[in-house]
Amino acid sequence: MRDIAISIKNLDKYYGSFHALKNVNLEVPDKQTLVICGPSGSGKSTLIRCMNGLETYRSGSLEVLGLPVGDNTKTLDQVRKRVGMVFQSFNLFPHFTILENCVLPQIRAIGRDRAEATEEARDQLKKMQVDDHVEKYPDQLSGGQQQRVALARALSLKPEIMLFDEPTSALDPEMISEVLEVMQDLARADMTIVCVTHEMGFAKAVADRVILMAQGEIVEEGTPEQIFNTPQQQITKDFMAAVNG
Amino acid sequence: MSQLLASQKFRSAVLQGGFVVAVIALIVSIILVGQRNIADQGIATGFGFLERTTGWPVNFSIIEVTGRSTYARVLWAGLLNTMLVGFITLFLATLLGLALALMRVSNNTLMKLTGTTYVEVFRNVPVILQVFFWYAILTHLPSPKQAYSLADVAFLSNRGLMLPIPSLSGADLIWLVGAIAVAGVAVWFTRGRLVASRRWSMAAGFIALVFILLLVAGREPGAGLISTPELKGLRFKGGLTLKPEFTALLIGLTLFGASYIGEIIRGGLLSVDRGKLEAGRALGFSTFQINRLIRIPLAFRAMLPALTNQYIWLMKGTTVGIAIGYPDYFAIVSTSINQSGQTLELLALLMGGFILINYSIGFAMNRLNERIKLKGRS
Amino acid sequence: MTDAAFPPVVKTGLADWFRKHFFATWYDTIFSLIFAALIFWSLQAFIGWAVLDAIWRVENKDLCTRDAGACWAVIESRGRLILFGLYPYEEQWRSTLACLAIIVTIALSCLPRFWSIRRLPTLWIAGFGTFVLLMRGGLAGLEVVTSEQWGGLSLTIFIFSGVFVIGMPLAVVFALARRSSLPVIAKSFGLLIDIVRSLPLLTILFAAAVIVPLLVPEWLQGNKLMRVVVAFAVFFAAYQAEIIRAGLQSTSQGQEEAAVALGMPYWSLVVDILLPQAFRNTLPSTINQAVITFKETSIVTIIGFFEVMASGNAAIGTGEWGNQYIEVYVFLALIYFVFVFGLSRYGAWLENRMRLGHA
Repeated sequence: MRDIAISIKNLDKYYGSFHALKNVNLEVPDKQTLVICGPSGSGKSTLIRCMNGLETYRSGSLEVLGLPVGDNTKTLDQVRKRVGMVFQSFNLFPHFTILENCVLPQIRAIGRDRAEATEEARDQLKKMQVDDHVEKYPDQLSGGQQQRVALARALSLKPEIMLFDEPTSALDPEMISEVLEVMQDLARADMTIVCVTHEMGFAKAVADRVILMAQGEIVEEGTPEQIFNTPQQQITKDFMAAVNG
Repeated sequence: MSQLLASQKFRSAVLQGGFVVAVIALIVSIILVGQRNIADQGIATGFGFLERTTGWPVNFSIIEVTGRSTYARVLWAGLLNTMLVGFITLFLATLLGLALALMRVSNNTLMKLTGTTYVEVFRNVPVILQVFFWYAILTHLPSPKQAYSLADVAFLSNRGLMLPIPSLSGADLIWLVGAIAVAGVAVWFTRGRLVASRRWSMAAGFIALVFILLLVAGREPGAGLISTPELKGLRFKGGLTLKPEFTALLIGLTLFGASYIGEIIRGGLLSVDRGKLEAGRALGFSTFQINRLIRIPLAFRAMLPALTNQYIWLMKGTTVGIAIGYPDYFAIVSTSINQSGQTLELLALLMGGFILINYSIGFAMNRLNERIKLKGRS
Repeated sequence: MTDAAFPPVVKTGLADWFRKHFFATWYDTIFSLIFAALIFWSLQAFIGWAVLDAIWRVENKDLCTRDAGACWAVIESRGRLILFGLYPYEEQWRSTLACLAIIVTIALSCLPRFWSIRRLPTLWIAGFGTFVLLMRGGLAGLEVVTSEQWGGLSLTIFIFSGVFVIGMPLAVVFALARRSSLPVIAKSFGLLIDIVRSLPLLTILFAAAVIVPLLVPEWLQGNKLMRVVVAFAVFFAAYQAEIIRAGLQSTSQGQEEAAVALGMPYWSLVVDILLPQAFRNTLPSTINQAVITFKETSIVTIIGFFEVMASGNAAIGTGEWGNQYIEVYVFLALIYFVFVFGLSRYGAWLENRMRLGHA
């Protein structure tokens, strides 16, 4: 039983000459729910996308579930099968039904047979409360429903870590809560979660830890109460004021 | 080791390296086999043949070409032939295409119907068939003795279309072109608002006049102004002869090209955002003003890339001329290969020639595009 | 206080429809009259020539003078030459069946049922294979008829389907290679595609027919027809690759990221996610490209193949049917028109349907 799910040491990332991540150090223990927030351009998305290899980095080290994430395609493959991700723009496959969206990745990524995959998919879709839409296509569903399907799709692979990259930013306000609810259930079920979000209510409710990033660096970290009620750094205070005011 | 194999950097390096090696190996083997085959068949290599005389005639050219011209000159004649029929086709096809487009976007149903029928008929039949068709018609016309005549100065027969033409020698032509160029400069200066530009304009106009006077003075006394075709025996002498090969190719390509260009222009006209036209109407512009100030300028910018592609494509289409005996660049190269056996060199020249023409058209159109492009945040 | 005016009256009704479409303004009226006269006159002349005064049977051939109508008898006399070339008379039923096989394949490809990565290629390989087997013979007691004897419309159809069957997979390879993240491969294929697209088709086919034998060892040369079909397929692939690439680009990058994040292998990403969408999105352009290719098969007549243009010209020849060139050319035009117009109408219909909803 590992203690540390994700371990990041001295991570540096550049986009050309732009220094996107500056000497980031972070440890995410198992079963922790971590929320990353901060102003746009702070590198939050970049950081979370490094965790499953969607972005590369120049120097430092990144270990996920004990496996180094870097140049080695084999370990990258293994990591991706055990880490799930939900995107801001859902990224469902529009030419497949909801059910097939959840079934196909299981068959292709981890080689389950179709019957087993279908059962698992139906199970997850039921938990996300979209099971009466299984034969529909993504664009027939609302944004909130699509995002829940995306979550079901990721969970069908039974990941050990879930990454969320601004999962509710593209949703109409009335649909945000239905997605946050299922995310909260997930957190309470002891899933290791890293979530980039602006939804402070969610952070207050379920986060074990919150970090604030600005300009590629981690500026402050602590429990939700510490960050929201007693911010230490000026940047944090400014950000909280902007978000709340 | 397996770590190395799994490394993305390693894999990408090996794959790219392997690819380069494979391509080089392919090229080298082609060269080796080619050299052996060429040696076996006793064909010479190199571009020296360009200075040999061809020994065969070319039946249509705008520069002097005989059986004693060099290959280089004959190839150049072919290139000129391609450009001649090509550019005239582009010009005429654009005019006709514009008319078609306007017909198809008008409110008059009959005009729309005619335009649509034209486009559907001419687009769906291969161009080579169309060219064959016109060639067959032109060559089945009566012989020169029974030619159709237009006011006795122009004649149509199975030898071609004979037209009267101003008779100008080479020197005359230089003065004439010079006069036109200087006159053009004079007109350009009239656009300026400074008093100085007026003076420049008048000076240029004066120079153009001088050129014309020199032209007239330098001609031989008694030389007629216009050379008209006259029937002498079995054939026509004098005037300008448009051979059926040239005419058929021109007509076929123009009618075919017009249908495509018409569609592109129509697409451009239709792509203009309705909101802008409505804004023009709300501002009180007349239909004519809307067309001239809003619709056509915007449509022109929209259709330029597609038009460029179409022009390049039409230019390549001139190669069907060989089927009816028009000596375009491809035809000349093909005959040269037959006669001289210098296959590889000539093919390289062929490809080079077309790449040159294409890039020139593309370059010119891109310059135009850059100049008229709508400036935005990019 | 001004008087209120009546609202503008919207006129409907037959007379007003006529007025709007034909007589809207004074110059409109003039145009309408001119075009009406033109259309009426040309229709009358054409129908008179093509139908009413036409001569249909060969027995009446002597009536075919300059002033008479169309001499369609030439079709009856030379029709087989135009359709089948020099294929042996007794075996022409095989040619007919083979052409039908391809036509059926094309028709079936239009049904959405067959639009899957597995079904469509299988359908085409089956159709094309049937064609070649029937034409060539050598099996099931069928006499061998080599490709030198294939001609006319059946050769045109062979070249077209050969180009399609070889060119499509090649186009996918080109498109994926050009998108590759390995810069050497992406740039090389980009260069190849650009060069091929800037050359006239005739040049490429000519090179294949004449140059390739010089550059390639004997055993690899194949016969002229095969070389030309392969070269034509490469030309087609270069254009189709750009179409596919546009389709690949229009599938959002997010889906690629999702597939990667889910741990799906690269081949699955391409086959299951990207290609099906790319093809569906670019179906109208693809059909347009197919239509253009069918018309371009006529170019091979210049290289000396006896396809339908050449067989048409042979039918006219200089002999007894020398003056019936218009009738034969119209017949050829009609053959092309049916294929080309039919396919492009289908493409337009598809495009409309896809714009409105789900295909």
